[in-house]
Amino acid sequence: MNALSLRALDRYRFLLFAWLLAVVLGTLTFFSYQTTNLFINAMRPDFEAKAVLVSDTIKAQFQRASDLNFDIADMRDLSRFLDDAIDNHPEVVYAVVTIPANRSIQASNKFAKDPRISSELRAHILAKKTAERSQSFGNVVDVTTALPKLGPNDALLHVGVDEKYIQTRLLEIKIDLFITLFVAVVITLEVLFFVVLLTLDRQSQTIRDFLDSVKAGIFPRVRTGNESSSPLARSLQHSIGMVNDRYRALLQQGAAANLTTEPRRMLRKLIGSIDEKFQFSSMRKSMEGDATVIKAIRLPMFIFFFCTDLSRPFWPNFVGGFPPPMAGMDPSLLMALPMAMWALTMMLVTPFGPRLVQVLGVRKSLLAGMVPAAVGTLMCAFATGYMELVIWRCVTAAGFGIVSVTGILYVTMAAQSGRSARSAAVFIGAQTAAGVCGTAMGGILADRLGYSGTLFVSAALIACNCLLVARIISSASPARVSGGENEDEGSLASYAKVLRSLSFVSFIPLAALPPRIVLTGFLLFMTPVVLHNLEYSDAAVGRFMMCYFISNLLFTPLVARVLDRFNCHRSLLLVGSALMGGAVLLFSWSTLVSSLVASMVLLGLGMSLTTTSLISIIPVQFVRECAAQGQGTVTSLLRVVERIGSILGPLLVALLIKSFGFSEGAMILGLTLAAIAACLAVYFYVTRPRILTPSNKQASQ
Amino acid sequence: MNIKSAQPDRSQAIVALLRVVKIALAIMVVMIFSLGVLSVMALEKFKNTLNEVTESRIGVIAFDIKDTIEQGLAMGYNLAALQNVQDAIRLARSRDSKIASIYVVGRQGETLYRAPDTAPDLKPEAVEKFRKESAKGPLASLREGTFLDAFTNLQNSFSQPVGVLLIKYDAASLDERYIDFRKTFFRQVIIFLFAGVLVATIAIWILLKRFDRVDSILAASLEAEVNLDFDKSKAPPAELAAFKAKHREALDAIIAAEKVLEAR
Repeated sequence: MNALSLRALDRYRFLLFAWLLAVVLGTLTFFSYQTTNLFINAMRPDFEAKAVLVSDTIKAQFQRASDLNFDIADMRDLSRFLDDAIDNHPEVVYAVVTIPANRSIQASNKFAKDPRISSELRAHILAKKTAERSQSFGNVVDVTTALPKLGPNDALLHVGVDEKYIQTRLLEIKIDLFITLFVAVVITLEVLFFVVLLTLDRQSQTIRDFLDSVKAGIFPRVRTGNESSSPLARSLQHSIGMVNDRYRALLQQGAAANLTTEPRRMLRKLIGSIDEKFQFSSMRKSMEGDATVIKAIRLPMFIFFFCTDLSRPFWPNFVGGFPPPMAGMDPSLLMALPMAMWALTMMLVTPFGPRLVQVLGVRKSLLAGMVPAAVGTLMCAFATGYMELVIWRCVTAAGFGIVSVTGILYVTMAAQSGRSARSAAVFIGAQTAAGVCGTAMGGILADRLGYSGTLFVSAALIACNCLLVARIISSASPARVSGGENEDEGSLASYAKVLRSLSFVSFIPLAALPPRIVLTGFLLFMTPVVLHNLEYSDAAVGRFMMCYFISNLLFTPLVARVLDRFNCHRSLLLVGSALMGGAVLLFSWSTLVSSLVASMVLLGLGMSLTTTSLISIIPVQFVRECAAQGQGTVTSLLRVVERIGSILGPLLVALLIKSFGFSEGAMILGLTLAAIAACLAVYFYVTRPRILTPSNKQASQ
Repeated sequence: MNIKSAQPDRSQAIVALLRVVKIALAIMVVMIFSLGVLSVMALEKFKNTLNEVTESRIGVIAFDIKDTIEQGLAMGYNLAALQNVQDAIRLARSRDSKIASIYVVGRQGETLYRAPDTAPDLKPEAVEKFRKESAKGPLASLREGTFLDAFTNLQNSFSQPVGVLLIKYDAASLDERYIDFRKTFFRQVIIFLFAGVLVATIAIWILLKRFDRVDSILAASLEAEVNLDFDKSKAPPAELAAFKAKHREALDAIIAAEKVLEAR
């Protein structure tokens, strides 16, 4: 048996992907490391110069006292003076004045309390008699300076500088570099997926299509002039083409030949038996594998979501810059209105998604969404008034809604059974990755180009994305191929019929609404407000939120694999709901950095469990509804309902904060989510699929 | 396995080369984008940190002068009558060679003290702007051409503003440091980009060549069977065997029918 097989091709394809990723990742990581070193070398002298300056300033004060012939022994409240002197300088740990002759000491208040000051350092300060050189004690560098003569005895000034402060500053820089590196790697991955897909995946897929097709007795028609670059694919094409040609020639010769009855009957019988077993020059569309089809949509979806998320970090500020349309309009309402209108427009547009996909196909539906989104974004960039901005934002939202629902329909309907969660993860993964990258890049671009410039870039990228969609998405989309079974699909009547299902209606508040309320209300609204209240900077708030996005991005594909392998949609949805509640409770209970980070990571995990399960649970949980009204109808209805959660989220959380305050409000939200998770468990128990045993079968009959 | 037996012809080599170029270009675009983003971010961060540290150093000097002046004001002196201010600002200026000038401006916008004595007069509109900005926080700063203007409000013991202290810092030195840093950075970007793309291209070249060789060998083993020129050394893998069996079956059925036609 020859060891070489088609798996070798897959292995080299994987190796190519892994190598390229390793090269890009390695280069960028090493580059980041070098950048940090450059930073350290460039900035360290500035920090040290500042420490010396602080020391000199204190010394100058004493010089003035010396000029006025003060005696240091007579100076009252020296501690307060030293406190004031080092106030506003976070890198300075203490300032101490000692008179070595009589071992007296006057120190800033920080000196007594600060845990960074070791007993060894305290002993050193008391024992030091001359100002010779600076000395390190742990992370504190004690800089000793001789003070001007103040009375009969010499006095020394000790200033402690925290070496770690420089490292803290550098740590911030490192974290920012890491975030940028992460964004770059995510973008690299998306592009690599696409490049490998276009070069090797399709080639392998063509080979597998030919092999599978012929194994099933189908010899597909091979178009001339469309030959693959792969010798194996060409060889297969050639072999299939040869059989097709010989069969065609056989039919032509048979028709032209003047045969007697018996050979004619025999020929007819032979051709009949051939036709029974095989199909030649089959017009059947090449079964391009679902994995390739689904992967093909990932890059355009990623770019689209990336473009729309570019405005996320500055949108409220951008809106706040417009004069209010009515005098006396509340500024917070002014900022919130376009966000609410966005969610509302998406909610109104989403139900038309399946119908649009049925009528136009996926490619045209995506374009029908992307064009208004590009125009809306462009016009937002040039908007001159508040109302104009709101109108164009609604146009963008309409486009976003169409693209969003088309994308999710595309991946769920193109997926083979048993791989729906992984397919949904392609969509969610692209959306989350775009969320991470778009938010980070939007801030950088807005700093450089301004708000309008960033929106212009976003519109231009969406327009380019339209070209990509037109080029790579097949016009005969899977949704269109599989559609047409239910003529009512996507109509208002079909939605109404689904809403009559008690099981579906009960599912909405228990599973569909909470993730959206948590996302828009807790993560996007409450978290920044609470963290700002805890005096965290904008950058720190951004970093906390990145923990959520990164966790969500990392867990989503894992969750999808678990879902597809074990088919445990209900359990994971339940665990996800409980984790979300737990994350919010953790956030409300502790303000420690580690707790806040853990809360964000838990929330990311909970959200990946719920959102991935929510899409793939539809055909499992609502079998009857999907069979009667179509999976597209149920999916898009669920998406519409989710939008209600997006609108309700900030309003509910604002109400909670207003009524109970930050901590209690978060705790009530967390407890409510935990209670909802408990109710969801009861719901799943009641609606669990029943195995028909002989006894209950009889009873049901 | 005789890998060398399956050498691609010239046109195939060109196609393979184009494919390598295509992927290498994609990697180059990704690297340019990623290194570009990292560079923009790092340069921005460097500029901000440099400005922050410089402002904080100016702050140390500014608050020292402010304390001196406000101590005098607390004793009931008028700002214009304080005698130690001129010395204080002269001494403060000597502590950092990049400080171009220091001004103490009165409530009406008149310059009461300046160091050096030759420092040009401030424009009234500039003073007005400083007064407005300084009300926003303990130390405000504005970039004006090549100068970084840091200013703070001076208050009497009743917290009433009595004037503004302005330090003009020569920011050209900061710009020079930033430009130097950017140059070093740019060199680094070019080196990393070149090295990364080179290594990636070599990896692409090697792996695609191997991929194509496997592909060619599989194609050769397929053709050997189809052409009834079966050679055991080119035995097909299991995936191809099923294809061949079906292919042979279809071909045999057609040949059987052809024989009927030939026999007429």
